[in-house]
Amino acid sequence: MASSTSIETAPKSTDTLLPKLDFSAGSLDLVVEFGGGLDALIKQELLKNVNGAKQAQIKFPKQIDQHPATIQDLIFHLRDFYVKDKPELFCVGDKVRPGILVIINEMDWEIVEDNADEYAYKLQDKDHIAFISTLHGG
Amino acid sequence: MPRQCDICQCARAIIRRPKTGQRICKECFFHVFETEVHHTIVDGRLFSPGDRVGIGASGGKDSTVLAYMMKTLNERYNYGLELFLLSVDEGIAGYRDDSLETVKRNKEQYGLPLMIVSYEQLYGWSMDAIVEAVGRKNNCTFCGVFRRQALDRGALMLDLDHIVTGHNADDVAETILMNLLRGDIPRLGRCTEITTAGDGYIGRSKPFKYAYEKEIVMYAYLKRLDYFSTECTYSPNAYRGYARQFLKDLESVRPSAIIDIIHSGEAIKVSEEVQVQRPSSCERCGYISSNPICKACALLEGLERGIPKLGISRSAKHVDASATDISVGQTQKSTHHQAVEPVHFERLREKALEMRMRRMNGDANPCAAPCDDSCHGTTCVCATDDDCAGGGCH
Repeated sequence: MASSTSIETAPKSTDTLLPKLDFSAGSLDLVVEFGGGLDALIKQELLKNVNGAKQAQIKFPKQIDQHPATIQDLIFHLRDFYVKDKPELFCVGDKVRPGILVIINEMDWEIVEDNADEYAYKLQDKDHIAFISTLHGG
Repeated sequence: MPRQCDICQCARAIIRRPKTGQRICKECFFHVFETEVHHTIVDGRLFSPGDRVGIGASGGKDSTVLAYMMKTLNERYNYGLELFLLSVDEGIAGYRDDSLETVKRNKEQYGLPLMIVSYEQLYGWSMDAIVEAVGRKNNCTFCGVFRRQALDRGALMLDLDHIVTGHNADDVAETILMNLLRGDIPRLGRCTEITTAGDGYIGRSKPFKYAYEKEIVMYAYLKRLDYFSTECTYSPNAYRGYARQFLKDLESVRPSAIIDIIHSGEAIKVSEEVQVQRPSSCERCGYISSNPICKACALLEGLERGIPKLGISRSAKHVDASATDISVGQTQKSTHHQAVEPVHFERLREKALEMRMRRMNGDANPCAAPCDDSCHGTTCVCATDDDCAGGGCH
């Protein structure tokens, strides 16, 4: 078990790309998928091809600044460390760019939290979160 | 807590429908989405039994979902259609060549015959060569004009009765907005029609006219359909980009905005004064045109003569129909380019009729050997690779 002072580093191959995170309150294993062309915005060395889907396996802190980690925290993390350049194609201000679907465990995030702010969704261990752009030509 | 489905009341809801606000489960979503497209097809009387229908396939999300959907509905509701995938290869390295690989996989996945027509083959100019000649500023004009005609040419080569395209509700709303913003009233009047005349012979329609892009993408995601999504490598149409962004912003605060705009567009009645005159045929290639020379021929002439602005400016309407003696020596085009005179539409129509007669006589595969492709589909009667005994035709 992690002690309150231990700080885990990211896997070797990507440790220059990712920040050191504080896992003192525990960690969450997340699968984050990028689709519909969004995968091209992401640093390719952080993505794995799983049956055609471009995914990143992310170990994320259970708590951030003493509150349970939310999807907003994850979005900031992705914007700051996973997007290659042009973060404006992923986020507009603090929000996900309109036209990008967010799907949590095969569920449109708009209805995951009933009548609540979707950005306040508290991440759960083993969550599968997909960001799928609808903005590319068909 | 997740809610139950508003329709079946038992499974977990997974999507809120942007059109209705209903929260529904995966199975109900598949069912209502497919059924809506079926109703669009039936209400719009898009097809008759026995029709040969081409699916304009780019490999992107909309046309991939359309191909899957057309195959599914054709089987489920016994439309009696013969379906084909029809793709246009604009000749854009690193973009279209990759997306055509997706179409080729779709051909296998859905078991549909595929025909690919290329700009290079039809016009003698790939988009890469056009961009080399005209730069990145106006190349979308060439691409759009050539693609429209290329689909009609492909349709005649396959002797199709109808073409369906993957244009969705967002595309239609966007086009309404753009025509409004440009003051293009004749187009504003026409752009909401579910079926347009195309070449004047082959109808072209949009079964996804009322289908939200969001639902198309969600459907493709949940069904794990194989599609390609990369932006074209050449400059995007900036004006359309603004309209699209505006629409997406509207949708995020009011999801029904898209269907509301379509409803408004359909309700607009354009006065007869601004409606276009009856179109006639291009004097050179026989394509439908309201001017003596169609836009594609005007653009091609500009390319061949090394003055690509010729077809873009308004004065294109005044291209002299008799000025066909193009001196190759004066052109500035790249040396590897070989001039191709597009096949006349009359010839394509004769060929289509010939193919139809052969089919009616049960002469299914008259081609015994592959042609060398120089006939552009006009001397041998292979429509797709599958028809051709030798393989590799067209």
